[in-house]
Amino acid sequence: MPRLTLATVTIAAFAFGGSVTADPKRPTPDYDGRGNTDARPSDAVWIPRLALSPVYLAHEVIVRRPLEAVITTAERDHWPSRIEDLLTFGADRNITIFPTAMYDFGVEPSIGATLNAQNLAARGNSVSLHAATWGPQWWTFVADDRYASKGASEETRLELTRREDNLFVGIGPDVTHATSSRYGTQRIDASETLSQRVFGGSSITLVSGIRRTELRDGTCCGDPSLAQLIDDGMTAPPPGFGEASTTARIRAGLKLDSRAPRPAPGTGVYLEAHGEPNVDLSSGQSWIRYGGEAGVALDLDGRQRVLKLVASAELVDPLSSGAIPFYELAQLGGDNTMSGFLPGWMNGRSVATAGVAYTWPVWVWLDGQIRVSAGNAFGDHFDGFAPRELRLSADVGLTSIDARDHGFELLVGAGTETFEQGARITSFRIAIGTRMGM
Amino acid sequence: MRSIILFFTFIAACATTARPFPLREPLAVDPDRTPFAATCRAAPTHKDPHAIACTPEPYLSSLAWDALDNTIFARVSRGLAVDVGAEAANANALDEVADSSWFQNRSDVAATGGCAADELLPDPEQVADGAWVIDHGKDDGSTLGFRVDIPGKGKYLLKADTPEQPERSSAASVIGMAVYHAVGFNTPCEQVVYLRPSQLTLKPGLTVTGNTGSTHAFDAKALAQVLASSSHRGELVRMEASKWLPGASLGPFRYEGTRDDDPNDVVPHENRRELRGSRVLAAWLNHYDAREQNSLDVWFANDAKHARSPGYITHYMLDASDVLGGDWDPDDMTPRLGNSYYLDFTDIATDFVTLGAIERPWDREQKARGHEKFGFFSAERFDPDTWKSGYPNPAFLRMTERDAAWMARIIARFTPDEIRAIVAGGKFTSASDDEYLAEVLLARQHAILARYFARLSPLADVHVETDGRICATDLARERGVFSQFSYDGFARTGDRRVPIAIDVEAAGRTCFAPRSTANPAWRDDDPRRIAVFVVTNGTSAHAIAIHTYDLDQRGFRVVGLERR
Repeated sequence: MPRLTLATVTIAAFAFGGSVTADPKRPTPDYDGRGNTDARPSDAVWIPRLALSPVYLAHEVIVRRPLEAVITTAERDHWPSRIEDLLTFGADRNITIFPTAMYDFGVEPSIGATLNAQNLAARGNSVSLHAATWGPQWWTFVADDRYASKGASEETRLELTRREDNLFVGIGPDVTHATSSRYGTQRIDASETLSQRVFGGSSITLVSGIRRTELRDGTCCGDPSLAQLIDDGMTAPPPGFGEASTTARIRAGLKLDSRAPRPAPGTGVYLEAHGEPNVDLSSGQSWIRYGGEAGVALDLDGRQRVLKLVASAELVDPLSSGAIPFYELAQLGGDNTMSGFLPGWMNGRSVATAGVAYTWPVWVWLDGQIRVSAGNAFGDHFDGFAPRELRLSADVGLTSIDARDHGFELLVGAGTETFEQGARITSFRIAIGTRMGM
Repeated sequence: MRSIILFFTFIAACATTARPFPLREPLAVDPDRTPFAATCRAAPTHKDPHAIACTPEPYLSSLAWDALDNTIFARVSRGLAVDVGAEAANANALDEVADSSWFQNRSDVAATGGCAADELLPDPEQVADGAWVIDHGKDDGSTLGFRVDIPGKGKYLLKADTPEQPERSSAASVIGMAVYHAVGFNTPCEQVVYLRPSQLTLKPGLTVTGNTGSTHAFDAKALAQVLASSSHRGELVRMEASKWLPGASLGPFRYEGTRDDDPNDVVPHENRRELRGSRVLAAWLNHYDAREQNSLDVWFANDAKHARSPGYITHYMLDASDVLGGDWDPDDMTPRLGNSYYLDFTDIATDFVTLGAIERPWDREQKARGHEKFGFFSAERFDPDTWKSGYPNPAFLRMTERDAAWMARIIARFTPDEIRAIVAGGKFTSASDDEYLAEVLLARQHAILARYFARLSPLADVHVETDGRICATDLARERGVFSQFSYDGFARTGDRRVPIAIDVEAAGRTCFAPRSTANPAWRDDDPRRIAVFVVTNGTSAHAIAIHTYDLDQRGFRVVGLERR
């Protein structure tokens, strides 16, 4: 232990009850006959030592030694196994509770917990319950029952969510941060998913579900509420504002992926396509959501340094008369598409993005990730699409590798106005936390 | 070039004249096994609830805190304390380490490591059924096992191999500890044994407590599980046997600070050369698990029958089962072992900032075909300079060039035959495993010598012969580390500087004949008798300065060496 000053040692000894016997230490032998003077650092180090001594003392007394006391006590008294006992159940300890936390600059943070039971009703069965909250204005509860066997899976899911921090900036390509506002939603979403792996990472997915959405007032993070903006005449009510909907949907998805899972090299191509007709059971209004994503990945050295070119598009077309509720439009922003923007920053009848992403290993459990993409929300069938109407999004961060259940991510990103508007940075995003886990 | 080296060495030698080595025998034995009386404390047992223990307080090392502290907090502390480091505090005048409770300078390499002849266990055909009594399960650790009481031999801890790396773990423990012992550390007796399950008798009612604190029965089913998990040769089960150390266990020693309750312990452990230099030894074997939990302080009472007897502490190295390619979970961690800490903020930050542009050693590590059991233990990308333990070790962090060169000189003494003899102690089923391992160890030894003999002089064993010549062994030449040697030297007495002729002889022997210029009327310790001989070998960047006293017709006496 570096000994900074006699005072430090004395304080530490008193503070932490260091045991010192009365037996005197023997004199240190003169090992080399010259007093081993080269074993002592230069006297000049005392100047910086003296200057840093308050910080050193604070680190030792406030951080290091208390932590040592807690951790050694925890280990001696088997706290980890007690906590494990507390958080794991079942004959084979197949039921686990683990905490989750997420902070995303610009929306409400959340803390929660997930309870996961493996092989509960049968082998391959996984039941998960997840709850997270940040007060009465933000909570979510998810129940998920999944069976998986030989590449096939069946999943029943119920999700109840209330949040009052949903971002709404506007509809179409030309909206600006000046009109950003918040609104609240309360949703109940029940779904049934069947999935069959075809080969490699390729699969077919069928989803059917019903969703009840009620709108609420909401504010967050310095932004006014959408209702307030409408009341003040600052913006027109978007379609479906103030109306609840109960939507039934069926989604069919196909994913073709030539890439093998890690640790195989990440080179390959993939194509994902989906179609999802929706009908509002209360109004009879209907629409279809469809789109897809195509990507080419090149593992530069066969060691997971993967460069990926990605293009994606999604469209929402009405199947009956009447406008589609604004919260059912195609959206950009969030974790997967144009991550420099918060979720829901861009809304439109169609959205399109193209970009490049690069991931590389930085640790056994972490990849670095950098993504740059261009895209925007447009009108009906990309109406209004023009290169000058595109926005840029870039983000860099760390993400845990291949952890579906309890991943970690740290992301810093930014998004710009359209090129026509000057491409100035209009969105800034920091996200850190564990993924919801389901 | 040589004249430049000689010039700077001369300057350095001049600089040292301010504090000459005294005329005395270099310290060969550190008297740190001086008995002392320890404070007594209550130590109730089932048999004797009023028992007392008069030993230093056992140290309970926290696995989690040791890892966390050394990975993060201790490093911050050292930074804030401007802990710039310096040379080891216990190097003697000959740039060596005296015998002590930590280290013994050994003149030969024993293939059996710390095992005396009567500690070696018999072959299974010489053991009667039920003769080995299992009296304890193995409580902690990553490997399964149990303790046996063997009549006439004492107690041994038997540990199983892992199915993933058959024979490796047991061989690694034996070979690793044999190397540590041959270098000079105190180690328990470790050996590979083959046994018939029928020669074991299980004492009823045994329990084991795991790392997490959960306790369960160690019964016939648990025993069968242990035996099934280990390697087999036909009907015989292969296990590693570790002789139970005598004395009272005091828990691990720390790689930092001193024990408050040991009056003999006066050199902060991070400043002990043997602990600092053991970083090079750990690199040789890839002993990434070189942390305090793999060490042990043992109290030896002068009179074991009397609880209050004075005694002293001896320090042991334990458990090298990770060496020679031990693997880890997750698999991706394994090729990093030795190349990066488990949690290496510097490497993470570097890889993040450079977008992974730097190719890392673990990117290209491959298991040797046919020898996959040795994981990524190879010499191909071995760099002793950049080697890292699993997490920072305070003594390793303070290792200086001189500490490393000291250990390299010891490692150089292992001949190829001695290395093969030690490897044979692993009792591999396939002879090709012996060959592979010996080749890798020899290649890694060469890499260590090439690195550490390139800067500081590899001249060792400096002594005065009966004919009055001063001779040394150039370990680099003896081991064939370099090819071009070119010797030069001079003698300095007072302000005079006289060239000396170097005799280059076989087996690395390097000698010169000093000429006496001393006046017999001078006192023996008169500074005018000091003669310093500076010798370079043409391959290392620095010379060796041999400090002597010219005792006229009685010859020269070597009192100090400097390699810098």
